[in-house]
Amino acid sequence: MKLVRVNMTDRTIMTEDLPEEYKGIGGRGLTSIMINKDVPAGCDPLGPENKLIFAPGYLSGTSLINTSRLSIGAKSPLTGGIKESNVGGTVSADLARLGITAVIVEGKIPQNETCILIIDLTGQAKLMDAAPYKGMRTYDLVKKLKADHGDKHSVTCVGPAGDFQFATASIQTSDLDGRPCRAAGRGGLGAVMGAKGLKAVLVARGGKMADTLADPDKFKTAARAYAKAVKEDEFSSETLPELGTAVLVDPINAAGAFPCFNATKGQFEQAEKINGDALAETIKKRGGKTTHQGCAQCIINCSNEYVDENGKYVTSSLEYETIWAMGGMIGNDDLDVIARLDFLCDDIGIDTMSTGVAVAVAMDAGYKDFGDGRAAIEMVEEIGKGTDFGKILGSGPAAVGKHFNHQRVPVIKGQSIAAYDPRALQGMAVTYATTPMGGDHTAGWVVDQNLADFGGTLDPLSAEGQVEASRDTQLHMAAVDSMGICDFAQTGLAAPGGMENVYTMVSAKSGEPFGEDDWGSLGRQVLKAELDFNKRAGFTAKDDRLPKMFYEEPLPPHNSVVVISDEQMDSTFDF
Amino acid sequence: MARVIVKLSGTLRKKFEHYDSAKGLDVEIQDGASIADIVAHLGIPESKIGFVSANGCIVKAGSVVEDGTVIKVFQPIFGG
Repeated sequence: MKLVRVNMTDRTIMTEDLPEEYKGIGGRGLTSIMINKDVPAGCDPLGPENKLIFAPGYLSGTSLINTSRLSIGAKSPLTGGIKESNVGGTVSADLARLGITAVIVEGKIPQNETCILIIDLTGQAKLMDAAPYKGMRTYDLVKKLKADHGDKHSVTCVGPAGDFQFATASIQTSDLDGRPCRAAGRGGLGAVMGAKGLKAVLVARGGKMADTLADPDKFKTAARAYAKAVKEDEFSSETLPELGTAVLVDPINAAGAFPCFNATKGQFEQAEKINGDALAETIKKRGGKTTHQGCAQCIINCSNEYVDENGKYVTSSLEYETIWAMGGMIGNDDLDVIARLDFLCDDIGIDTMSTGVAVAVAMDAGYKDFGDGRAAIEMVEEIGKGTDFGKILGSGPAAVGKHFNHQRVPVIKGQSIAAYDPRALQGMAVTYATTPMGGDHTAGWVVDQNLADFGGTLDPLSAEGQVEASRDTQLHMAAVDSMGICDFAQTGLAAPGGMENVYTMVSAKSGEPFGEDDWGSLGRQVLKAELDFNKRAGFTAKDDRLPKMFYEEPLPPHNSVVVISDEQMDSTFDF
Repeated sequence: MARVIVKLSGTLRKKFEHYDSAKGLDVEIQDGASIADIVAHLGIPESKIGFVSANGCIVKAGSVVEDGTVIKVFQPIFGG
């Protein structure tokens, strides 16, 4: 349990024991509480006062399956508020197995200098000059880093978008095959990393210094029961490996909640060309891979390897949100174009969701036609080249809307919505509006409660019960994100006794009692820290609103608008 | 009698040999049958169903089905 503190200004590195106040907290809990305490809320996100924190989940590095989520936190240059974006791959387990609770990157390197951070198998960290790597795209970068430093590391890095400090730049990290295809996409954290002058973090794989467990036998028993539940659930054991997260295209489209053509329609007529079946069939026919393991300790294997007609690699882990952003949202039904755009975003180091929405806003403003895949590819290439238009696009949908004087911009706190239209899933309106993260789906995904139990325990078009559902889910997810548990392994939590298994594992690691009340307290503590930071950064209730388009423009096929009142929005966090 | 097309998502289709995802299942049912009647007729346990749409709109288990309706049956979903 130690912190690695990296000061980029004077290039010093300190390793400290984890302070008592952070014991028992990992992932998002740690990044958000630490940022709220130590980062001035009014600071420039790209300045030396901001801190970029990498924290494995509390259960990362243990024997529990699907716990390879790394939380990355900072003040966001996109939203101006606090941000946590989490990502899979191997780095979370790699850090945790070196006994590292968090890497905190502070200060800012002198202009035009660049470093990489290397953490070896003993847990020692060093900064190295990396001028030759500056500006490199991520796929070439990982190849060069492999040639220069060997292949026994995970690589967490920025591409040119991060070097340019664009507000939607991502931080990419390597999967089990060493490809930089996993993205902490949201909130522009790549710009923070780029501003600090940190091009990449290399973490040695296979460490043997993970935190000791207070009760290993108890942990093992609960971990086995959890894994059994995930294996027995059809969605996580059969559907996701076979079809990937793209399986969500059909149900969300059927629910009329798949935002298309810059959220002017809720159903995409050509959805069958880009759904889970189409993706799996295309990949299989061409000799690519479905059922692909992307993250350490994953037993679900929802990832894939998409190849072209000649069987040549195009991209990996092509997921639902990207298929939406680069598909329906821009009116594109060509999977090859979607895959190419996914690769480009990973290679340039830019968020697929924000970028797809930025392209959609430009198309809606008349810059190019909806469905013009070639134009979309050319636009995204401009981000990588840093052209004048690329700068605007890389700054996100709001910047594009401003450039074209176009009002239809689906962002909240500056960040775009995800692949669920809030007019057809009212609970997502509450989450988008109130989460401290800005327009974000993982903070409080209430889709299942609206589309379950044979027609929904909630009416997706009604306000009734949506605030409570979003509040409960946001509290729950703040705790889940602190554990490092993958969203798609939540079938293990939902199974009978699933939550108790998690409480048991937390207790078996820490040696302290942990139960349902502690889980709830953890969620509240994390959200309170985030809300406090945003309040001090200047956010008010007026920021917890959706753009006018969602209140005023009925969305076909339901022709519904958001019906959650301002008062209801403001009651979400009344704890 | 009424005829409806039933399309199945994810692993629900595995139960039906030679299931064609483009065509779905051509099902003949009694007039006045509900969504619940159709899934029971097909032998799909309700616990394996997330939600059902009829001609593109979400419907409840008790909704009555009309001749020619295209029904899609979805599994429970998780995500984020």
